[in-house]
Amino acid sequence: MSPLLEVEDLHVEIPLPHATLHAVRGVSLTADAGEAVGLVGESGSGKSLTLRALLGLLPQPARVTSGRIVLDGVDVTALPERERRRRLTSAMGMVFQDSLTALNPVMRVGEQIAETPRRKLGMSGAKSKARAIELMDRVGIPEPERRYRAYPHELSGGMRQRICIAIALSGQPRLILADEPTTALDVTIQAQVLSVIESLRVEEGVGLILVSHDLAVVSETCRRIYVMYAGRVVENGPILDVLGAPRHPYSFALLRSVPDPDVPVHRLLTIPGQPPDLMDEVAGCSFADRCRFVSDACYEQTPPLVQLTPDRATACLRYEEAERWSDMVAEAPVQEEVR
Amino acid sequence: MTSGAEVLAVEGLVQQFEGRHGLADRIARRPPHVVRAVDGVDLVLREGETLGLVGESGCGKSTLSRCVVGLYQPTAGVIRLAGSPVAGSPTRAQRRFVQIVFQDPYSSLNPRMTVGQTLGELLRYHRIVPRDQVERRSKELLDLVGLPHRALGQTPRQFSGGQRQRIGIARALALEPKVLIADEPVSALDVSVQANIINLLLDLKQSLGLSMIFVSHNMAVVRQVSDRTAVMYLGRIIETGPTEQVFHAPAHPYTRLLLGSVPRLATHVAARNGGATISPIPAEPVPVAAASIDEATGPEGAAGGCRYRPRCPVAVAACATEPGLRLVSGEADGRHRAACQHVTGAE
Amino acid sequence: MTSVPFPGRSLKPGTATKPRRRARRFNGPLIIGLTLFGLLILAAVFAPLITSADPVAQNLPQSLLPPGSPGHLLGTDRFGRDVLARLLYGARIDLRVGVLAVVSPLIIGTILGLISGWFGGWFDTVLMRIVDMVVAFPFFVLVIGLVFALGPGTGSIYVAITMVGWVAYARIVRGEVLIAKNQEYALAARASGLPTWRILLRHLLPNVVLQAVVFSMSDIVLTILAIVTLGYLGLGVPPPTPDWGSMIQEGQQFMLTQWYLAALPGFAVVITGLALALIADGLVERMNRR
Repeated sequence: MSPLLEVEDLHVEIPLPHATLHAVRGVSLTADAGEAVGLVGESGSGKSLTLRALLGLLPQPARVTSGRIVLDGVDVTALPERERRRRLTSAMGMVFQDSLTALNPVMRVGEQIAETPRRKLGMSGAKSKARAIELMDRVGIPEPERRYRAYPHELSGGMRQRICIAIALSGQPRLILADEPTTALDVTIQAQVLSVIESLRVEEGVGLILVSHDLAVVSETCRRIYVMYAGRVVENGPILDVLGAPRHPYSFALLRSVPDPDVPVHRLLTIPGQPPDLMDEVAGCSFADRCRFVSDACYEQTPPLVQLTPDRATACLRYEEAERWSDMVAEAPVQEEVR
Repeated sequence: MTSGAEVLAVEGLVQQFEGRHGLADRIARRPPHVVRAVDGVDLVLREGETLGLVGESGCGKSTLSRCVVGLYQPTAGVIRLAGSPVAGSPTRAQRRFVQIVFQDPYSSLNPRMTVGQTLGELLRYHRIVPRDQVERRSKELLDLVGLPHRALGQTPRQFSGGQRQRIGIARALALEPKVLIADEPVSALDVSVQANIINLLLDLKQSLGLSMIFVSHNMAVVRQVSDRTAVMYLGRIIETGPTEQVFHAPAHPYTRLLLGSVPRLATHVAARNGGATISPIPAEPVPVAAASIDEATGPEGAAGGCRYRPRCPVAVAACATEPGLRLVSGEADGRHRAACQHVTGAE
Repeated sequence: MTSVPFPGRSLKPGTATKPRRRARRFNGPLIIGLTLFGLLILAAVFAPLITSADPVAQNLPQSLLPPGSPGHLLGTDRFGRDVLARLLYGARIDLRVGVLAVVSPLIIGTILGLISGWFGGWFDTVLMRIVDMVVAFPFFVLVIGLVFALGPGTGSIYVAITMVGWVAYARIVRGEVLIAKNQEYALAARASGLPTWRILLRHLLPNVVLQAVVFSMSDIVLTILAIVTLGYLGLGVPPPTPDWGSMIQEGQQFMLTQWYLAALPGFAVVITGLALALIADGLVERMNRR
């Protein structure tokens, strides 16, 4: 059986006045109903654009230049625009980072939730209102009947993000795409919002693609992870495998740069340098300049995504040496000092 | 534990802000809307130590740090720098004594000035070095923060976020301060860049003998950098003590909630559980949080009593009177104190 | 205060990565606008070299010649004065008055807006009340009233437009200062103990003034139009000195027969407006690029 969503070799380009920014460079991923998948990377890695491309929500003037999006075994990229939109939007709902700008400021929040059931699912006014209140209850909004009439600015950040989740759910999607949904929230509120998303997945089998720069958030929420760097997926696999034994130097370094709240002072590993300029074509591995374990071969060929096991892949030429990486870093602590 | 001389102290600090109080309000004799962002805070910073100040948005941690560097006139209370109180606005020497690094690397640098102009202006105005030495000194400052000398002629927009933050640090160091306040210095940066800046701050603190107040909402970062930690909630410090104790045995229910809410890497957790296989996802869904513990309600919600009472899962009748900081363990500077009725130690 | 020991070079060598590369973009509007405006100014300055005709000398037998007539490239008006010469000499008056009449409101408004936005308090309250009062009057009514009171002539025009025009700049700059003074770079400047005048001039002014300069571009056009209107009411530049306003006014009597008499100076106003609008666009683009 084919997965619910399959993305193959997706490319997104942003034409600029004097150059073209090749922001997403051949991303492939899959997601299934009831499954939580994490997409991790730093700003500029192309993770948000990948997510937005799935729903046709790319910011102007970015556009998808090639790639296939397969939904339920049907290649929607081949369908006419309207049909493609209908299929994609009915299967997926989106939650954004900034709940204040994602909501219409002059419309009652309840009506914003009821809009999709009424317009798309053809429910009557009373029925769609009942549905909206049910959804508000579902995402943990106390006194949903009263809050139905509230405007976005009258609610706190955590409440607004719950409303956004309810809106994403209102079209009865099988997959929720969440773009940094908790980054703007305080840590205690973040935990609550994540638990709402988690309970939806477990109880109603709604799938999740979570985009985040925060490895810890993805680690707590997702079962599989895609690590993105400079527009490509550099490593993917089950979360515990990737975090426990990374097979790409970027994921390896990223993991060690995350501070641990439960362990007293230890020196964080840093990644020297900066990501490549995505306006240029990068020769060889895009991480080579910043990699501690680089060899000459890394500059010559673009490493292919090698399938290690059926559900695990890495785009590193030297993945076989990965077990020695920890020792190599320990042996050369001086290197850390150099930024 | 560090127990150097006191370099900075805050006693009973109150900072309140008045809302818009227009002519119509004055005619109608409506009292202005007053927000107490900081409401009676005591702090001591010792030489060579790093004090972590944590709390969620709106707890007053940024207001407190801005008070300390003299950006706001405190409504009440005393700020002492190296033992002498700040009277009115700080003197030039007092300004030099405490410097601040801001959060946003994009708005914290004047976009119309080159790095050299920014540093040179401070070096000249405060007469840190003779005029003919300004350029040499500016280059030294760039060396300190790991930027190339050619940065002097460049404007901030030519740098990445992490590099801008280094410029911000160089600017603070230009005045050769004794105390550095880092106000969320890494929260606008990518994770890998965060590590760079944290390491840089720790190195500088060591080599220059600075004392530091590290303000952050990120518990994990605070754990990594601070010797002592103070937790703020709605304008008050509700728990303070050596970082180890506060994180290992939090005494206040709010600190426990904060620590419990921090997302953790599955591998970090696994390492602590002795490498046992763990499930990153709880088998049973976590119950959706009820409204009572959702968000801070503001001091009005808990008039007179403990401010955390409306959210607190272990609130009792006694919480209607606000507790002061009570001793949990330790003595002198190693004291671990928490403002909760459930703590039985002396106030 | 004791000096903190700084180990200088010993701690970290300059190992930073290269700063982000940025392509220098060609600012089309700014270059075209400046070129156009420059040509206008050159034409005005070198008017005697371009045409030998006297803009005020009447020659009634040669009146109302069509454009292309020998010796009169753009024809003559009803007094037989050369239209090209009048246009060029008119540019001298109009551009000078237009630019000069905007400079003093720009300076006064910027200073007042800077002080008002930074310090707030009673000064801000009083200033904004005055601004509200000036704004409440229609612009032209106020200018016409002032010129009437002061008597016609370019001097009166400067004074009248300055007295009315500063409010727009004060408002713009005050608004920008209110935003900029809470930016962290302004806070950093304060925290490092720099004196207030220095923060205002060195840190805030360069960041807030560009908005006002952009507005002044369109304001120059408005001012030229105001001079045109004043000329129409007989309160402008006294005849026979050529200016575009009086040319349009005289020309409109011949709208049906010699339409170009009004259209040519009108066209000059449009070109000036276009050049200034392009400059304003270019400045905005520059501002956004930082």
